[in-house]
Amino acid sequence: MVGMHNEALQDSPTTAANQAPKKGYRKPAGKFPETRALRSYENEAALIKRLQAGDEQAFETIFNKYSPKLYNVAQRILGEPADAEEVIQEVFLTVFRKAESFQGNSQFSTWLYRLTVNEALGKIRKSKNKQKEVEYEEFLPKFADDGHHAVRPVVDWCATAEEQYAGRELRQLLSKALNQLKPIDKSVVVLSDVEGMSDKEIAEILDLTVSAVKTRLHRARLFLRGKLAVDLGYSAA
Amino acid sequence: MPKRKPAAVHTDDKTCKEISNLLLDYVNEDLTAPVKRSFDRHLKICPDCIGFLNTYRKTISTTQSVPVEVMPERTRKNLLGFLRQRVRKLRRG
Repeated sequence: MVGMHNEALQDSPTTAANQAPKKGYRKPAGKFPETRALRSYENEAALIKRLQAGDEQAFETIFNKYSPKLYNVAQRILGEPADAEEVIQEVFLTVFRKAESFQGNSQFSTWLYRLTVNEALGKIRKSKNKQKEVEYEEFLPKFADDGHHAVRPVVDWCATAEEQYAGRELRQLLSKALNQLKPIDKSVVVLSDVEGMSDKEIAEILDLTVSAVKTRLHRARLFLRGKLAVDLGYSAA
Repeated sequence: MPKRKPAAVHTDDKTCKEISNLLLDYVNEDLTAPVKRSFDRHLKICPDCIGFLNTYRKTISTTQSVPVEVMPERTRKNLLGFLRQRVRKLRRG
């Protein structure tokens, strides 16, 4: 399939750490969450086996369960509903065709996210209307030779942002800035700050080291912070 | 007369640039105890870094509050209809 790399089809090894929820992640409430999780895991394992045997009903159950989340990720990365729709279509065709290549070494959801992000990034690479990349440097903090902030005072604009902008407007400014990130950085931010995934899960999905994920996430957040500061009338530095 | 405890001397005091590089681990609570102490010590004397930290956190919370892109029901139905057809074709070989 176009844009779907072989490595994206493989699931990588499971570790206890990459299954751990991110700090601050809210676990679903339940009387016996561990029992529920186990039951859910068993159900999913059975569902995947049925999918691998070519069961259409299992395929539809998986589509109904995961497509809303994957659509959100695809649209956040691509910015266009029609593109996100195409990505979801390709991803689920791959899921059916290549289900046997999923060996259970990683979580099934991780494999699905991997297929989705790879398909979305592939679509951007092939796009004729590529967005001009914005230089991050202008919006990153600046430091003097002694290591202190070059522009002082650094204004804490949190209260101003609340007073001058309704939450919705601030989110719109943020979304605009998000769309100016490099596609791979946007994927990292979406998976981390929108989807609430751990750095380890993101590393697995994007085939990066954890250290590379952290570096990209931090730089992208600094850029977004700088853009918001400038939009609010302050120095990015 | 009891001996006075000598004042603590910190040889690991950080610059604003070093603090900026530690922000991600600080907000994730991933710093080791000594590095966190050094970070917090810097915050006590640097209002610029407090402002920077607060706005960094505000950026994260604003990103987290961006609403979910909901797949329209019509899109979901169309996709499922298309996929059903393709899956049946694939099964027939």
